Amino acid sequence: MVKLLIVDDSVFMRTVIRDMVTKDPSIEVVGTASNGVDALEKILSLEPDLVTLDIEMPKMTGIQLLEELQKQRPRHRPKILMLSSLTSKDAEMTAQAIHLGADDFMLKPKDIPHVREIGDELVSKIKHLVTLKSAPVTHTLSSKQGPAERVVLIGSSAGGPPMLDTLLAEIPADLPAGVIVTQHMPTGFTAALAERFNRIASMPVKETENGDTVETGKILLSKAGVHTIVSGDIGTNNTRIGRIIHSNTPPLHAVRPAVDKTFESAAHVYGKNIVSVILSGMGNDAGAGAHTIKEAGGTSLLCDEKDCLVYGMARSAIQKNAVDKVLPLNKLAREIERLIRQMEEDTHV
Amino acid sequence: MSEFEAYRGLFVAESRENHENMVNNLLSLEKGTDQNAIDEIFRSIHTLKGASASMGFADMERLCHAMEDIFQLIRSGSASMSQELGNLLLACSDLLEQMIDDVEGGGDTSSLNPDEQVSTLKQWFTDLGGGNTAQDQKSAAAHVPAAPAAETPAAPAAEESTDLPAYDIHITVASECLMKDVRAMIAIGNLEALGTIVSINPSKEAIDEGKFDGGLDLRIASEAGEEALKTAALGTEIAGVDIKPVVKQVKKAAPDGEKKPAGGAPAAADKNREIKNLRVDITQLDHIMNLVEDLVINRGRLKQIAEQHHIKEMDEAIAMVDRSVSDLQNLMMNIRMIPLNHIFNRLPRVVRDVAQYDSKEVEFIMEGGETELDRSVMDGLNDPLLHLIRNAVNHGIESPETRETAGKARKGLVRLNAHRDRDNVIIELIDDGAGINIEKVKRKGVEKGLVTQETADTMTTDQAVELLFQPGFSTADKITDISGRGVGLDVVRRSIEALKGTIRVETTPGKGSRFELLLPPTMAIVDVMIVRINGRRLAIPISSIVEVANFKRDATHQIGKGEAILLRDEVLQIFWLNDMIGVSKICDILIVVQYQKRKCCVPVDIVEGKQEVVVKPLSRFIGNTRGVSGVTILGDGDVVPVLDVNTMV
Repeated sequence: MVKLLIVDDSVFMRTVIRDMVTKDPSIEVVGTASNGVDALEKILSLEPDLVTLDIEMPKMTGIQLLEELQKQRPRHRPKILMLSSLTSKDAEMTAQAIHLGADDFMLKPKDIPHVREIGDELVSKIKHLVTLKSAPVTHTLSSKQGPAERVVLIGSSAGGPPMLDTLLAEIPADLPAGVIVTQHMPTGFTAALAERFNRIASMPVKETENGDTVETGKILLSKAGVHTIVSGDIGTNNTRIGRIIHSNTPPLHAVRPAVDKTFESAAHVYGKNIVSVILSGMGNDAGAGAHTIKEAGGTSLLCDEKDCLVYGMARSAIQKNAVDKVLPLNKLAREIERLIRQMEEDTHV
Repeated sequence: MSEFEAYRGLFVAESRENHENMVNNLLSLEKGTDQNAIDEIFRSIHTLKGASASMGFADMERLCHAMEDIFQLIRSGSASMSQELGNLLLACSDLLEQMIDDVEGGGDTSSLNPDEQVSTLKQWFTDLGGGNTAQDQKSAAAHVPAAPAAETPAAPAAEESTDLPAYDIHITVASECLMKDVRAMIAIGNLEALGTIVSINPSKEAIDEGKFDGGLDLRIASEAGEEALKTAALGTEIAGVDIKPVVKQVKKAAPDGEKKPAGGAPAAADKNREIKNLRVDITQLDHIMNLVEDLVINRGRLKQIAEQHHIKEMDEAIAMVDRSVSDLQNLMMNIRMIPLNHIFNRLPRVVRDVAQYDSKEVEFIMEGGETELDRSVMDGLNDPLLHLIRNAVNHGIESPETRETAGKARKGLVRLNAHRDRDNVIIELIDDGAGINIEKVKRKGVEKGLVTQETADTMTTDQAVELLFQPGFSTADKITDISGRGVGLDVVRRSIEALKGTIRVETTPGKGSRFELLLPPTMAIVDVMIVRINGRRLAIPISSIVEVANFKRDATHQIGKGEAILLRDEVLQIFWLNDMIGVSKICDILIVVQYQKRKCCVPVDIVEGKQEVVVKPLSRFIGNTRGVSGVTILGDGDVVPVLDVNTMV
């Protein structure tokens, strides 16, 4: 049973959240609080397993509460799920919250009458979060540093982040490849997501910046609001260099970053030295990109439908006949490693 | 869907609260910067936006979002409020209110198009220097790809691919580079991936043939943005890239546009709008209230039966029931009590609008909004109060010029004050305007045929003021939008009296007027003293009784038409209730009653005792009888009138 504390200054929001989670019998709402002060008290007295936390609140904001928790270090520290709204301000605050130890974040429920999945997403996120270990991983830097000669490209959308938690934690730190993750997300929120993944993944994770080099042993998370384009260059010692370009071209499939943009541009640079993975997601982004990768000689993987909240993106790849293998989530990391090591051997032969 | 409907009420209730909070803080901002008010507004609009988004009211969300953007700027200190901006934001909040109304009525706000307001807000936002951050944000990748297409208006010239922004780029390959042509080709290739190369010098063919000396000029049409193009052109052994937009109006891409700092920790607000309440349908409360009233009546009957039959054993049981009923009754009273702020909160806005319409300058002060009144009283109070406030600004306060000529401050003062006086609630509305022009009132009275010229000439000020409350009287020279809508003070008085309250006016020419409303905190249950005159019973509210004294018939004095008595050096007017109850020979007890500072006395035969009773209003066909506030049914079934002291004194 997951003991949940709901913190939000809006009684409307508290009710909506409560109704969403109480549909699941394994979640019990042990209390609600309308400001940080109240929440702090209840965290100490009720010892919830997880807290959904609002940012803007009277008396004590969500951020101040997190600072207070860091200071007080309670014996039973609950997992904290930030519920943010879609503004640049909230995005910034969310990144700060993650930095202050919040475990994850999610957008506040939007358009309840039409989007059924939101409740499911919240519930699955809560259940997933409580299973995570609290201690952040320490990154062992890959022995093979420098510009990556091979890349793992991951495309993900709705329902993807929890899968990425698993996948990025399982990909070994010494994988001889760079990793680029393109996750559909509203502008501003990818900084927080990167910071969060950085605590979970075996490799260091950062949000892309215009001009970044794709490096072995490092994970880049596409910055939201721009497309991540991989552009090629050849170093002075004839090494291949992949460079990140942030492009402002209009959203593709109504999203920016679009997985297709990253997949296709990377295919031109890395050709057969690519393993692409499509995780859960709505819409039909990623299909065309996976097709280009396969054409260029790379390998395209899909996650099993049973592990995905939504299977739209994966299906778009299946329709284009751009799939090499479909694997359950917990087998993906091993297969990626196998394929990359194979590619490494092939280059050296 | 039904689950969604369940949220509607909650949404409306909370949104109204936030809307009100926002409007009031907007108004207080007009008086000067107030970080606390800004924080409050921000939080309110933020919550409004979140809730409307959750409910899927896209138009409302859009409006809130645009307003929030503006307030984000103000909150962070990079923009400040102005009268014009204030007006715009208030207009937007009016539309928000309409949207909330629409939702309450079962709509989804789609009938109210906020396009005009949103685009004005966006214009302001750009002018205030919000610039690109918002644009970026608006075109943000929608979280759910299936989101409405209207979400992405920002990408400049997205559809017209023929009219892409163009850039002139000059690339310099490092002089020490051994394969300059290869480097140039890589750069060209990377640029081609981002857009269409319009012209290039030297040409690719020329470069292929080795005709390249390290400098390359090209023009590219692309939406990728300057930064992206620059990065694509830059590479190993590229010494420099110069890039210039070609067309004048090319939007600069600034992905890392200025970000605003957090704006500090919000100051701890002293408000306690924390909602820990359960919202109950008011009709249910009314129903419970009726049951409690029945219980009170039946308790009285039980008591009487026990007394009549001298059943001692029942005393204890009745005492217990008595206590429970009293507690229950008090609790019910408290539940029904709501702070006056409920209706006060809207008034600053009214004052502001009327003042602006009339080009008057008015400072509005409200005090005592926390005073509580029964909900049923509150409901009836809203309209009369609104009318009085409009009157005060519209008729009371003079134009700034007139005021200056009269040696007053340009800004008129309207003060609304509520406080408890014993069991009653008193609401005062004071203005420092011109006061009521008595001569004008008399003239109007004669014109309208309300009084004859002779009566008018001999009228006292109070009597003349009384004319204001006559049906069909209006002193406004012209009928304005604001007041004078055909309802006069007579309607105000009638509404107040229907609430068992009274209205009183004092006015000093040149100095201003003071309207005083006296209201019972609750209409239903009162403590009364039961007295008998001429064998008939009468109930007098305990709250208005100051003394019960001995009365000697020969100690009275004749003053004019009335009779008075000297009691403890005070001259008190005697009210004989002969008309009402009939002449009594005994009458040796004097009940001194008081309304505010004024006292008078009523002679009675016997004082029976004190009792809590339910006051039932007189039925409609009897009408509003002055002097009697209602009737009550005692335990033995006797119907007893309750004296209305307020209208007597």
